[in-house]
This record gives sequence, C-alpha cells and structure tokens, in this order.
Amino acid sequence: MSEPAHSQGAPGAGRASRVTAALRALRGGPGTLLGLLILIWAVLPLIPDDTGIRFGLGYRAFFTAMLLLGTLFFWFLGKQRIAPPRGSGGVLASLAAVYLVTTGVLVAAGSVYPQFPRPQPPGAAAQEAAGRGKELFWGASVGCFRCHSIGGKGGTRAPDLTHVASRAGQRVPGLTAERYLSEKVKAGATYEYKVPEYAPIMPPFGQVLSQEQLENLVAYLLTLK
Amino acid sequence: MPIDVPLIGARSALWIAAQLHLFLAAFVLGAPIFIVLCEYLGARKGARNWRVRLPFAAVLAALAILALLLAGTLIDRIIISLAALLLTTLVLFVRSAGDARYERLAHETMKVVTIAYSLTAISGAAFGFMLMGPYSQVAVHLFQRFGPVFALYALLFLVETVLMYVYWYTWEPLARRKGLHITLGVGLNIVGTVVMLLMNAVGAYMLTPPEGSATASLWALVNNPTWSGLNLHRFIANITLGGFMVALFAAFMFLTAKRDEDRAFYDWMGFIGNFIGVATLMLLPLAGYILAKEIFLYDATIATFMMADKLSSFFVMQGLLVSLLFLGANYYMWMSIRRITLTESYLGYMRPTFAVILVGTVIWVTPQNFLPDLVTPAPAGIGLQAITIPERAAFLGLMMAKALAVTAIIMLTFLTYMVYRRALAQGTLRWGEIAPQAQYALVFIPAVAIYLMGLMGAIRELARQDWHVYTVLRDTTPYWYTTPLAHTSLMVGIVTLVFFALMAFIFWVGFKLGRAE
Repeated sequence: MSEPAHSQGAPGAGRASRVTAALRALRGGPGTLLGLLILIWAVLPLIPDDTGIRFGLGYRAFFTAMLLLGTLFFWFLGKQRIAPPRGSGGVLASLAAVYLVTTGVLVAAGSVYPQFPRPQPPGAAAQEAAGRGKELFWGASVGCFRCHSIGGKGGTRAPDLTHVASRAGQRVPGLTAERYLSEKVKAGATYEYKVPEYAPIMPPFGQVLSQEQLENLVAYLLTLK
Repeated sequence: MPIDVPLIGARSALWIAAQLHLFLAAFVLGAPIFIVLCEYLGARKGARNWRVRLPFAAVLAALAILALLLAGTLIDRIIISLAALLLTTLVLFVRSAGDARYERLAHETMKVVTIAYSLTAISGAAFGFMLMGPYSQVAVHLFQRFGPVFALYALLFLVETVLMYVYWYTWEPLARRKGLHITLGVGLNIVGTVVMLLMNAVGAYMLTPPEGSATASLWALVNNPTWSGLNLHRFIANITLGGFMVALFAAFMFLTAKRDEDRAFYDWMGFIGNFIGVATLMLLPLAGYILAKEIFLYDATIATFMMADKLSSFFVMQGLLVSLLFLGANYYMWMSIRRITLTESYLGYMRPTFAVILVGTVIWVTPQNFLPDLVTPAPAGIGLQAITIPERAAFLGLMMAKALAVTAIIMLTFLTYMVYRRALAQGTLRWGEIAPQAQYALVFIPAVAIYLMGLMGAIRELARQDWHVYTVLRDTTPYWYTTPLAHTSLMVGIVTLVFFALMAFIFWVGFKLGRAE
C-alpha cells in the first residue's frame, strides 16, 4: 500500500535522486575528465588574445588527445586482475595483439601529425603542369582548340600543333622550343615570327593568362612531339 | 642509381635490412653483457678475491688513462671517465649472490642469443648486398676510406662467433670451473663491443666526416666528431633492449607456466629483465644529449634541421615514446609492489605519481608550433595563431622545460623503485602472484622501445639530408629526399613488426622446441 503513495510523491525526489546519482558518478575520474574538457573547450577560448596565454585550436585538440590517453591509462590502472587467455596459442596471440596494437597506434600518431610534402620526382611536376595546360587548351575559358588542331581535332584557322614540340626549337635561331613557345603564346600575332600561310590573328595571351597558366600551357605543348 | 628494387624501391629495402640487422645486433651484443653478469651473480658465493680484482682494476685504470690521453675533446674525456669509473666499480665491488635463478636466467637467455646470432648474420648479409647493388657508390666510398676497419671487422666477427659458440657449448662442461667460463664470457663481450665500435665509426663518419676527410688519416676518420657519443648511446641502448627482450620472453613463459615454481621464476626473470632495461633507460636521455651536443658542435645547421625544421616533429614523437616507456615501466613496478604483502599504505602514492608523469609527458611533447618544417605554410583555412604556441606559454616549447619534465619523470621512476624497496623491507614478496596484466606491460615496453630505436635511427640517418656522407658524397638517387614523419613511422612500424615475428620464431625454437627436446 505504501508503494503508490511513495511513487506519487516522487517526481521531485526522483529527479533529485537522479541528479545525485549523476553527481556521484562524476566523482573521481569521470568528473576530472569532464572538468578538464570544459577547461580546454569552454574556458580556454574565452581568454582574451592579448593575455598571451590563449591556446589555439591545434593545441586544444592536442591537449584533448593527451587527456584521453591519460584517462585510458588511469582506467587501466584501476583494473584489478584480468584473466589471461588459456593455452600457449592464446597467450601468444594476446601478446602479439598487444604488440600489434601498440605499433599500430604509434604509426597512426606519426601519420596524423602535420606533414611536410614529399618532393616529387623530376618528371612528375612537369607531367602535372602539362595536364593543367591540356585543360586550358581544350577548355572553354581559353579555348586554343577553336583555332588550332591536335591529332585532327580542333580548328583550322591556325597551325596544326600535333608535332609542335619537334619543330618549335627551329623557328627562331638561338631560342629553345620552350622559350619560343612561351614568347609566341605571350605575344601572339605581335611576335616577330609569324607562321607563313596563316593570317596573324592570334591574340597576345600574355595579357590574359597568368604566368603559371602560361607555363602550364607551354608544358603541354612541349609534350606534343 | 645502377639497380633499383622492384615494388618497394631500393631505399625501403635497404632501410628494412639495415634496421633489422641493427635490432638483432643490439640484442646479441647487449644481452651477453648482463648474461655474464647474471652468470657471475648466480655463481657460488665465494670470498672477495682481491688478488684477481685489484690487478684487473689496475689494468682497467691504465687503459682509461691511455684513452684519456688520446681523447680529443672534453666530451670524450667525460665519457671515458664515466665508463672507467663504472667498470672499475663493477670489478672491485660486485659479488656473486649464489642465487641459482641468475644462472638459469643467464643460461636460458644465452640459448636464444645463439639462435638470434644466425639471424643477425643473415640480415647483415642482406644489408651488405643492398649496399653493393643499388648503393654501390656508397659501398665503394666507404671501402676506400675504411678498408682496414672492414678487414678487422671481418676478423673480429669471426673471433666473436667462435667465442660465442665456445661460451655456449662449454656451459655444462665448465660448470665446475665457473671462473674460466665467465672469463670466456667477458672475452666475448670485449670482442663484441670492439666490433660495435668499428661499425659505429663508419656510421658516425657518414654524418660527421672530419675536416679534409679525403686526406685524413684512418684514425681521424674513425675518431670522427660523433664516434664517442654514438658508442656511448648504442652501448647503453643495447643493454636496455636486451633487458626488455628478456622481460618479453619471461612474460610469455609466465602466462603459459603450469607450475607455481615456474611462474615464480618467470615472474622474477621478467622483473630482472625490466629492471635492467629501466635502469639503463634512465641513462639514455643523458647519452642522447651528449650525442646531440657533438652533432651541434660539428655543424649547427644540422642542429637547426633536427630541432627546428624537418625533423622537429620526429622529436615530438620521440618525447611521446620515451614517456610511454617510463609510463609502462612505472606501471609494471606498481604492479610489482602490489604482490608484496602489507603494501596498502603505499598504493595511495600510485595515482599522484602517474598524474605527475602524465603532466611531464604533456610538457615534453608540447611543440612550439604544429608546422612540419620551416617552409610549409599552415593548412588552408587554419590561421597561424591556431597552431602556434601562445607568447606567454612559449617556455613550454623550449628545451629547458623539456629537460625539467624529463628529469621529473626520471626522478619519479627512481622514487617508485625506492617505494618498492621500502615495501619489500616491511612485507613479504610473493613471486608468481603478480597480476597477469603486468605481463602485458612487459610486451608493451619492448614494442615502444624497438619503435623508438627505429625512429631514432631514422633521425640520425635523415639528419644527413641529401648526402650519403654529409658534405662529401651527395645522394643523387631518386630517394635523396627527407621522408615525412608519416612515411618514416610506417617504415619503422613495419620493421618493428618483422622484428617481433623474428623474435617470436627465435623464442619458439629456443624455449619451446628446445624444452621439448
């Protein structure tokens, strides 16, 4: 008979006991962890910049990682006796697992840290530039293909560029293929050398393209041997 | 590059072969040092024989004085004085304990050393082939400069092999003539150490060739600016690795032991192995500082490259690894304290100790910034402020703070051992009753130690930047560049796992098959 009466008067007391239970659960380790997380993510960002002790996002993430590592350690520290696996095979497997996980975590730690780029092999940078130049040649924004053709595709108002890399070095005495193509693309029809049989209609792309775009375009043309 | 290696490339192949050889060599050179010491400790307790000890100590002192006269720098003199002091003290004051467990530990460890020796030779041959093929230019250069050193190395390697097998196979026949057997062991260690010193000379030369190396004398090439620092560092680290590997074997044997007496023995063996490892580990930061100081004095640009440029993140990783080693070692010690009766009053110090060690770890690994080198900009969308240490906390990123943090961690580890001894004086030690998870700490510690050795080896090699021999022979292969930390970590991780697989094989042959026999 007393149970219903107890439960009727319980809503407030139930909430209070839940809060008490939650507070009790937060004592010790979990409470310390929560407190330090609040300190890192709620208090540290509030510190004004001019105090010289405001840690940025990178450091807050780093402190959090260290905090979680420490928490894991303290959790393990609280363990009493764990039962080892049975048999030599099981023991060896468990030891190998500890070894494997340890090594894996260390490799992961080395991998998530900010990395400097690995230098590309000498040919790779030119290949990438040529790829970007190809996009410029065949793309709508620059659209060299509207007048020039390569491999039978493209316009016919300007010279066919299928083997341009092989002959560009012979156009102007003393100029390499790269230098000639660079100057020609920059100056267009205003350049000193004009290909016979074609009307001088090429715009001076040096006024339109950035230096990097010009280099990419020339890198592409140099692949057309 | 005359020849490349398919799939993984010549550099990775050479890296794996060289590092595996170094790990195995470290074990076969480091373990016999304490095997002989343990054999002596296990020998029948006798009178302190001053007629042998005093002349031996006098010879050591004379050798030390000769070395001091030959030493070129103050650092060399300090190293020689410390080594001489340690050895002379050992010779004069260490007494056999008459504890048969030491004899068993020495015998069982020596069994696996003999098996590891073959694998060391095989990995050494693989390393040699890699040098002669893809890196023949380097091999030719080194043979031209160090011809007599390589010849002496080959000769002493042969002598070491003979001594090692004689030492092992005369264990039983010379059981009644322990003095002679231990002398054989001491001879093995002396020859092994000289072999290590010879190859250290070549390795150190590649980073710090002496001025005018093309015309320098052989002694000047050998006694190059970082030779003594590298010798000291590797000598200590080899003993550390040997101790940790013994503890690893003991952990497996403990967990699979069926009899209480075996469990008690392997518990003790794991404790001794770990003790040797930790005791020498505490000396390693100092040895590391000495080596770094020698490098910095040689060329300050290498120092910048290491501590502020491309290798700076490697040192953050190093701090984390050494801290993990100390955490593991302290965890094991507290588990050891728990197996002593009447230790409840001490257990209250455990959590505060670890709290301080963890705070020390955070300080040690807090970097000045999260930029991977001096030229790479901050990632897109992230301001420099977010990844640079605030102005007033900048001291946390300086060496002074790091050195204090390391000192605090070492002091606490030392105090933990003091607590252990104090507890031992009051309670009763129950060998074999340690919590099983402590054995997993004995697996965790070698994993981290081996990984750390691999990383530090990589740092020393990468410090040469795009040179095979710094400022003397340029690396013109496609692999001339400094590998980023992720790439290096992966390589070190692979070698660490392969080494574990090899050690598991050695252990299986030595402990399991040998036992069945």
